[in-house]
Amino acid sequence: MTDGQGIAEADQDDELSGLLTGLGRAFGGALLFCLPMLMTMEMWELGFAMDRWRLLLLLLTSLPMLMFLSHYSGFEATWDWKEDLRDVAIAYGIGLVSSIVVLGVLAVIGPQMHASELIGKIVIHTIPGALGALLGRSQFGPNEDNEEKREQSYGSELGIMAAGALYLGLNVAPTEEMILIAFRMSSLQSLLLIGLSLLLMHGFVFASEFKGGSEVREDTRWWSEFMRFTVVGYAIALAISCYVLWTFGRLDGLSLSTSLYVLVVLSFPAAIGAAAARLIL
Amino acid sequence: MTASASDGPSSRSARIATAIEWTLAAVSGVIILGLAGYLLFEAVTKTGSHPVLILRIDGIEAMPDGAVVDLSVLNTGHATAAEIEIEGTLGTGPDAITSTATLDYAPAESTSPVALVFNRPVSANELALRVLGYRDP
Repeated sequence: MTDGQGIAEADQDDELSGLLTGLGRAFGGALLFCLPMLMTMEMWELGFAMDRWRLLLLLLTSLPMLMFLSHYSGFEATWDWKEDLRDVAIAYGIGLVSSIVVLGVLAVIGPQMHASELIGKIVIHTIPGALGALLGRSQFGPNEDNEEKREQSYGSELGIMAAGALYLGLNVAPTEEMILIAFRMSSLQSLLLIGLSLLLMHGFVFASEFKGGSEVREDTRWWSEFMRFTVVGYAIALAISCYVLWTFGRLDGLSLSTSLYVLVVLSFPAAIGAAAARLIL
Repeated sequence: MTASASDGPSSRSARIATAIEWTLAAVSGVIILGLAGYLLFEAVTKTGSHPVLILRIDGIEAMPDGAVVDLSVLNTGHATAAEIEIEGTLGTGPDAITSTATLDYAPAESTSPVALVFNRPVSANELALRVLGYRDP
């Protein structure tokens, strides 16, 4: 064996073990992020009860979000759309496999079920699983490239917030508690919840300044940060919550005002998810 | 984050980016203020504390061994009702057949679907509907 061959083989070994480590992290991420949903009764029911067009649309709209996440922090530091697409496909695969294994072991799915129920239950869990696979990669990954990743454009900061809002929103939107809480709340409590969401969000935005998250200069006024990150972030949380609630049929038959109450309730965790994502990712 | 127009040589793209940031901020601010304003309006104007439930027949579908009556439960009140018991009675006297259904929630000012099942054909004019009861969510 020549030296050249030796080095090439060593490189291949490195690449292979790197890939396996990446896959392991992705599986870990998929489980960590998806387990609450895999163990929620309403998610199983949605698998066979939810509107098929909305499920298909959720699958399609998750693609650009996952592409963005892969671009931002995927299995590898990629900037090429083909590689991002490949990573997203792997993430879907990991979400699919982890959903099938966990749902099968938990007796949520079984061979006696009709294909429509089986596929519905698996698909609805695959999407958060894929999201978790990509997020997990960035969380369990090495820290050394974090500094370089911190240089973010405003657009990608908003994208990160959307991903955070989608993650926490997906986790709680299917539960009956979201509508139940909204039914029990008064208008004034809803108003207070909006205030509380904005306040807590701004706390996270403020905290991310210390992490060196965004280029906050000494002379940046607090209201400038508040308007550009907190207010826009809350609007993103509202939009994502609205989409997720509609997807899960939680707004069906509700009047405008009742829908707004439910929207404000779900936007609370979504807003925290959005703000925390900038700090964590 | 994009550089603001105030620092250093302000390029055209930086100015555009700043304009986009502030446009987004303004639009978001208007949405949130609108939402808060609507809730404040509701807090002041909608003070009714009881659900007002109305039952409406949406359709009667013949089945192999009877019929299914599709109903809408309209709650025109300002409060939500939970666990609404609905009863439908076909005919009168000893031959009357009753059927009941329970609805999880009838949200305020909203419409919720429910169905009653009978073991014989149903015509709308012989069907009597009523709400037996509900509780606060």
